Amino acid sequence: MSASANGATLLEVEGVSKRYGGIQAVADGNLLVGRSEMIGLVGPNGCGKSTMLNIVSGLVKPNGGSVVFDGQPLPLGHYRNIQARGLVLVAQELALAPVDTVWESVVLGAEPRHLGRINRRRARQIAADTLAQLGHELPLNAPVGSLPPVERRLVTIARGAARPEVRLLILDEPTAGLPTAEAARVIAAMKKLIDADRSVILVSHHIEDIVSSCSKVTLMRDGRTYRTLAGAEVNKGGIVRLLLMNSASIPDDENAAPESNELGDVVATFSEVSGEFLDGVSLSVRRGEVVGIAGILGSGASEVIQLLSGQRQPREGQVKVGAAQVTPSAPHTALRSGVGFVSGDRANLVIRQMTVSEHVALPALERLRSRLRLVSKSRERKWVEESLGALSVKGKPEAPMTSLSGGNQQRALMARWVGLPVDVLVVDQPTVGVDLAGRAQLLAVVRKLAAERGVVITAEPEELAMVCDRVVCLRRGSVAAELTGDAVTEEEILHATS
Amino acid sequence: MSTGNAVVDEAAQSGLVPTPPAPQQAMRERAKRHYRQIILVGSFVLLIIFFWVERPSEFPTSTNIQNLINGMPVLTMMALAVTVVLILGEFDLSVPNVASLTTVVVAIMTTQTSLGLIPALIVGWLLVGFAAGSVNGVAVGYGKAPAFIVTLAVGSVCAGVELLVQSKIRLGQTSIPVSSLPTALQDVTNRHLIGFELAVYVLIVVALILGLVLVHAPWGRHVHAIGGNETAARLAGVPVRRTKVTAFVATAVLAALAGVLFSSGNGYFANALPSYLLPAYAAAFFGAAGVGRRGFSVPATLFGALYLATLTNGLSVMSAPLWVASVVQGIVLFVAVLLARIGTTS
Repeated sequence: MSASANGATLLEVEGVSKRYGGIQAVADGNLLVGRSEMIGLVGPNGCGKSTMLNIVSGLVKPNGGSVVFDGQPLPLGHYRNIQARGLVLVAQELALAPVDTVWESVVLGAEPRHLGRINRRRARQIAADTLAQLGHELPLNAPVGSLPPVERRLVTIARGAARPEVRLLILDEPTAGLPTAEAARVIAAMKKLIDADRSVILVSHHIEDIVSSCSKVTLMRDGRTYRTLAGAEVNKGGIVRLLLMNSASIPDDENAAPESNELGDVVATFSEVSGEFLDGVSLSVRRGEVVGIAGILGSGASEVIQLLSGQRQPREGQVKVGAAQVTPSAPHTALRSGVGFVSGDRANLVIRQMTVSEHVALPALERLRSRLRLVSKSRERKWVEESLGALSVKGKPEAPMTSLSGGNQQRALMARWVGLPVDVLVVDQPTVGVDLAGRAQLLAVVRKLAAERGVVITAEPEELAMVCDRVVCLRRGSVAAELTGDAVTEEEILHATS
Repeated sequence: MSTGNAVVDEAAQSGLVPTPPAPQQAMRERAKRHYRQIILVGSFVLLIIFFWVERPSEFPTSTNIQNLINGMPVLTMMALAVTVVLILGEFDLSVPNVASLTTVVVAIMTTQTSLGLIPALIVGWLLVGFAAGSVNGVAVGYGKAPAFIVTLAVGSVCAGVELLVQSKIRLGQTSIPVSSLPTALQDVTNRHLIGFELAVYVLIVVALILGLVLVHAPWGRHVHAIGGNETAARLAGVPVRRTKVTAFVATAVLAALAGVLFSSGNGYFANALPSYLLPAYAAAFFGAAGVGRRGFSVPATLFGALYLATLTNGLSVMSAPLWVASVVQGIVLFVAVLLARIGTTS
């Protein structure tokens, strides 16, 4: 079955590497794709998958390594040139303009022309043919924004497939956020691509999707492709075991290990909450515990976070937070009802030009006023020093926030909430972009903060296993499992979520 | 798929997280900023020396300096008004029209009502300021409308209302002709204190209070945070929409105060102020480019206004033709902003 065995190799990636500043995003990337073959690429967030795909498709120029496509070396870093040779990265649905019609979206960038104008009739024909080839019929003149999510995904795939010269499509999480039945439609369409003598690289956190469609799977971790499975080796159990084998990369820190606190009152509840991804989810969080929300992209895990912090509202059901059990309607009212928020997406938390002190004091300014209703310098200094001290954050308060390392920035942003009457602290992917040593310290801080409040956290399964008392595993919008005690392991989490 | 979700995931997957600049880099940046300040403050000193040497009997005289300073309050007040929204990361193009509208309202309030002079001034000032500011602020803060267009529209309405009010007076529906309006007002402002008009002292007091509030009051810090990173501010619990409304109100109130200062010094002229729009922004941008360590600020705007006023004054003392003054001002602004970019990029 392996096409490369027949010598019909289409793409050969050898030893590519890419470094961004101090971060080695890809250290050693290798990939082999045969003709008419679909291979899977699997690895945790931040393992370098996206960078690797960007290298292959020409969006990013690597520091080293080679990519041979159809027997010829590719001009790395030249996206349009590579696309013309027949290798295309299918962007996620974000790349669609909602007001464009289906046919416009399918032929975008490769419009058939006649005397310098778009030949609309041919364009519609191409779009219809391509969609038919994928086994679907969509209203060609409908705006893309009016289609359900699954059909938008099909349009993005059709865009790649509409070009006759394209022989390899790279699909990045094409089934993310789709319910099982709809994901199956997308997978069926991908298989049709293989029937049409094309090859596919499929990137997905849904290991079941990979198993059901790929003949080969390459595993990646910490910037390296360390194992490729083929034939009978491609099964869920084997892949999960291999993903686990190479983890254990975080130094153990006894402070981060859960030592069960006294559980207090309920500080956050979801009752039958439905929203964009969530479908009837109920859960509750008590003071003194760290509750992890596990789930891959599109499972609804980040929606839980956004609902708790007042960034969005549920479609159905009720979200209540704080000791007083209020519904959070906006971030600043969520704060008033006892919710604090920290995110690893520091682009959305760090304010350029502001100092560490100004960041830490920002949610508390109204409490630090003195006479004349101005912020008292001395009270602010005391507040900031105590907050930073409580979480042993290094760094001068008057230094710009951007001068701190990622881990320290993150802890400074957590320190914000130490002195405030926060009942539940919502922590979203705190370790993104934080080095290994910093991660352990960060998780220890999370434990510490849970002593007097409830903490809800999303993170990689490995980290959740280290820090959580309880993990709610979400899968396609519903609670797949709720793990407690000894069941809180990386393996259980991976099994329940993927 | 929510965009926030996708952004986090993308950052996570590509390992592309904002890398903090190394300490040495911060040092270099600081040095660059100082270099920029040295150039601009230095060029200001050189400018003064140049005019001094060229026109020793006219430029450095106390009369000329009084003229220079007494000519500043209206424009500078408007520059302070725009500074508030600039810190917020927004624009307000209605500022000069709000000021203009205030001049006519104040003229009526002081002559057609039985209020005393000072209460009439205050009522007219706050009436226009709060009305225009709340419309701008609510549209931008709660309506999420682009400030550029909203304030352009509000400015246009203000200009129209001003014409309407003024034409009503001209048509003789009221008994007081436009030409006699200023007399009552001029009593207030013709009071000088050590050679400077009352307006100068109003400006100084307002600048002091505004500077203090913007830097040290929770509200001012919130305005800075929103301008720096709106999402970050929201997630830190800053009431973003409410702060936007109050910032636009503050801007309009300051703009209206500029109108009060103008009418108290000059009486009422139709459409006297719209031409102040660009100079007001020029002063704020020039100041931020030249001396603002962290972008827009009250001291930076004051410096910008002083620099530009000195330039204009010097050129007119040297009897430079109008076109020269315009070109020189343009070049100075251009170079300053370019310098600032060089200082911040890299």
